[in-house]
Amino acid sequence: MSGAEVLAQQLVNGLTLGSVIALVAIGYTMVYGIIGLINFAHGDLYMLGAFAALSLIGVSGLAPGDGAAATWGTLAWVLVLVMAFTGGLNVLIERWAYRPLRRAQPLAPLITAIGVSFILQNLGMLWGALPLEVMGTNAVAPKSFPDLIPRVDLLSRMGLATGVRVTTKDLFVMGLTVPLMLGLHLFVTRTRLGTAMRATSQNREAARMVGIPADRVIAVTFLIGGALAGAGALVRGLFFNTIVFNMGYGAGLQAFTAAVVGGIGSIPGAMLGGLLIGLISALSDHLISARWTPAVLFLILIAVLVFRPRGLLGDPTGQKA
Amino acid sequence: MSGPEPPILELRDLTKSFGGLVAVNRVSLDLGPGAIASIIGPNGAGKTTLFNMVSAVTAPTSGTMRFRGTDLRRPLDARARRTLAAGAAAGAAASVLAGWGLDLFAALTTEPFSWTGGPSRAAAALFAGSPATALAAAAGAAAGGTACLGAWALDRWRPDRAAELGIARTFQNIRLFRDMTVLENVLVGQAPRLLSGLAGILLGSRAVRAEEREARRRGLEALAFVGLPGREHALAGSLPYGDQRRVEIARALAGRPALLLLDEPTAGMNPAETGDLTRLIREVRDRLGVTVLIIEHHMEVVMGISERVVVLDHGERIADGTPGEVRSDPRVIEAYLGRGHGQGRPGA
Amino acid sequence: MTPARTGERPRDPHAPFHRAGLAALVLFPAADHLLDLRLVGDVVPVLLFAILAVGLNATVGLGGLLQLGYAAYFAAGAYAAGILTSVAYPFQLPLEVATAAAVGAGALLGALSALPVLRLKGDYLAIVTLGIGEIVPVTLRNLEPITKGEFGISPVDLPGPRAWEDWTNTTHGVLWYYLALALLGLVVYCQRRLERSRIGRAWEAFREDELAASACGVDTAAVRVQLLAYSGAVAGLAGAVSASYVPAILPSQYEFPISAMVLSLVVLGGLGNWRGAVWGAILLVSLDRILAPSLTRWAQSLVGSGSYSFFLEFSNYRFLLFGLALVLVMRWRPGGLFPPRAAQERVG
Repeated sequence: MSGAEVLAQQLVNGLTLGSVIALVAIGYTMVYGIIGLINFAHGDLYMLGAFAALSLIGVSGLAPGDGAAATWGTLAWVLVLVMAFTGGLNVLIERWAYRPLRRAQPLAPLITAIGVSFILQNLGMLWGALPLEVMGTNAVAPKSFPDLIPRVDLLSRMGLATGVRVTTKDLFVMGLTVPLMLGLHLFVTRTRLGTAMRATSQNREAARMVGIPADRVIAVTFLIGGALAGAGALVRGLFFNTIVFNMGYGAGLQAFTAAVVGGIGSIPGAMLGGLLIGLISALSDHLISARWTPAVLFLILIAVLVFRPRGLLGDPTGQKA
Repeated sequence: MSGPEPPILELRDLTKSFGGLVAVNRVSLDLGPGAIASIIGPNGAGKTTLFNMVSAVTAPTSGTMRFRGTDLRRPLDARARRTLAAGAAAGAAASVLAGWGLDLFAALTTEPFSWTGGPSRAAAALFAGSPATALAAAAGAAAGGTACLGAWALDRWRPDRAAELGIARTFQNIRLFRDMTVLENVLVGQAPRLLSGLAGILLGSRAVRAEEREARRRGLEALAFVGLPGREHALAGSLPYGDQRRVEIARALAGRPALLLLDEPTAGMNPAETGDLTRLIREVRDRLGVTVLIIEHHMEVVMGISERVVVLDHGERIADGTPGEVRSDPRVIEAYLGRGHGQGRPGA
Repeated sequence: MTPARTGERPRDPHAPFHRAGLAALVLFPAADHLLDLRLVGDVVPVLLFAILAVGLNATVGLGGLLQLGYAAYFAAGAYAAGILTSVAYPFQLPLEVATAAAVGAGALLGALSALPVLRLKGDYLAIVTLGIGEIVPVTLRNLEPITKGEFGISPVDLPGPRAWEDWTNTTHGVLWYYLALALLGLVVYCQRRLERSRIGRAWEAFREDELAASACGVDTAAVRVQLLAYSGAVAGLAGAVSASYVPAILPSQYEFPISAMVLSLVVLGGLGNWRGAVWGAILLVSLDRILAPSLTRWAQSLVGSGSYSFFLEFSNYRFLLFGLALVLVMRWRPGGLFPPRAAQERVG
């Protein structure tokens, strides 16, 4: 492999990873935009989504090597159910934990979110102990997620003799994340509710005064953010084939970093940030060492918060520090 | 009084713009010591912005401010900041490169160089090199980074500096430390005058206890002065509105300022409270010798106690003189009546 | 209306309970010995958590800075003490020196981590501290030449106390117990002194209203450095003791769960009130480390260990319970389980 090929391969890996990160980052950025809360529990919601997806696949009995029709059909309803599960759970969490705190002391919502994160992570751990075949014997050990998507190298199939591998798995990730993001973009820009959401995000008081029902907009925001995290969780499971109950924390921080880099509160920012963080992670894994990648990402996060808190695409006036 | 004394506050061409909006436009102003002066003007005229600049809460876009002969400005000017930050960054980079360069050189010369293996071996060398060079590089980077951050941190206006120099203020919407007692609020107001060190505090030294006693005495004195004796243990946030205003004034006076900025001190008060507060403001000047600058909408208060009235409109100073002069100034009447703002007109 | 105690905070109505609790702590080893509970050794980490909670309470409770990476400072102290005393390194300094160095390391890391946040507050500051809390364990894990990476540092031993122990012929745990208790006492003493000084008042004023505090003359950048350095120093102290108490220092002992656990103790005990932090820590960590294992044994003896034994293990619900407690306390009892003065007065 030549140097250029190595770099190209990292770009492909980074884009694939980045689009999963972006799906989770959107949940952070939308919630922050609407109620100014860093939803610390979002990463753990994503983790629960992965456990739900694994359990559903286990229940369906789908296994690697099943026919394409069965695989795609089953995965389609697994996707719908997982998105409904994480979206619904997120709405319940908002109602039960965050909504009563709208007028509480400034640190209360974030501390509550940390509490919710503990609860979800613990639930994930207990989930891993359920007597399901897919959960294996050790409750807290990483679970192996069935490798349902075949890994076929597309470029060599097309007769391009390069060292770069773009596989069907990469294509699957893009094929799922890109339409979801496009759909979100259309929803936010073309529908009444989406417009109400953007208005609330820009100025909550003004939006309330013109009669936008804040509670409903907030609930929908949590629903969408949660559902996208669920989709991201399924994609992640199918792509990396391993999940673990405490993965939410790290994945959440990665996604949060992406949201901040892109400009927290901005949906296109979260998408851009996700891709960037994916690329940076891949390059850091390759050029420095995977062991240092978390530290690299946190240094970037800190530098952005300190020197450019509105990120790349953030609203210059809307920054809340 | 022997001849004109030098002004306590001198503003020259003070300007503040937010994006495209010019809030304060080239305002110059000299304020003599011992005066009670008011700033009036319609909403959005730039009055509070002017106060914020004088108390170093916001940075002016341009212009200068002098207080008792001292320039009020950033600790470092823009060029010094840039030089410091650039120097620190260069130093950090140089030490990292020097430290890691040796490892890198060693790693790359042991085998024939190739483009594919090069970068990853170089990166491996960066992190697996000899501990001494890594440590030296890290120390250099840390020192340089610290200096960069320090330069960034110094790049700010310091309201506490202004307070130290003797500029105290109150806020339009009262900003007390609500969960602290009244006395504690007034003690915080003395912050620039209290100097006890960490060791003395932890050991409870005699000097620290004496300073604390003296601070409490002065605090109680300030509370008595504003007419709140005996309420020192109440939580500040639990007091009635009018008393909170008084605590805020006592807190501002506790630091023994030379200039007191009052931002709408009588807002939300009934006529009796307003009368009391007006008397209090006059006493601040007469008994404590503090120069007072007031933003006020109650024209009765303004015309009653001010020796001088400055009128701002759209960020510009449109009139300046005694209450009588200002009241009859046609531009002032136009500013207030011309647009039909329900502000109350001067002299009404 | 000027009694001798003027300016003192109102007396704490729970003072008798606190005294009784203190007596119980002092006498606990005797009771443990008489009743043959053999719990003294298990209580030492509980006391260390209490020390950590008191330190973090300064930053979060008094200063209002949400510090999410507290374990990093704990780690700084532990590694400093470990490296300076362990036979695996060439230094092998005496305990007193190593402990002082650990306190210094915690304070230094605290002061350095204040630099990037000199102008930040709220969520952004919380995330920066979280980032620092993540970078430190990654560094400890990967900087093998210095920290021994995943192998950890072991054994860390305290030569002084060991000799003393031989001489007094007491059991290992008792000595550690009183050492930890004495340090807890020291930290609480410092905290009380600070709280009643200009420094502690500046911290609280900063929490209540940063702008007003700075207009009163409080240097808000210095407050951030003080808060993070002070709580860092306390964590460093706890780290030094824990380093020599645990069999080995490993990077995984200083990750986010520890930070989150200490934060929960502070929030549950009551923000801004060291008594709450101490009793909250002792109560909750005791439940977690002492009661939960015995409950587990009891439950498993009742049901027998089958395929469901994972669900009978009480420690597997630890974070569920902590999380629930955090959520419920924020919702229903924001002053914590042991509410501080301010909340009490507002209710009563």
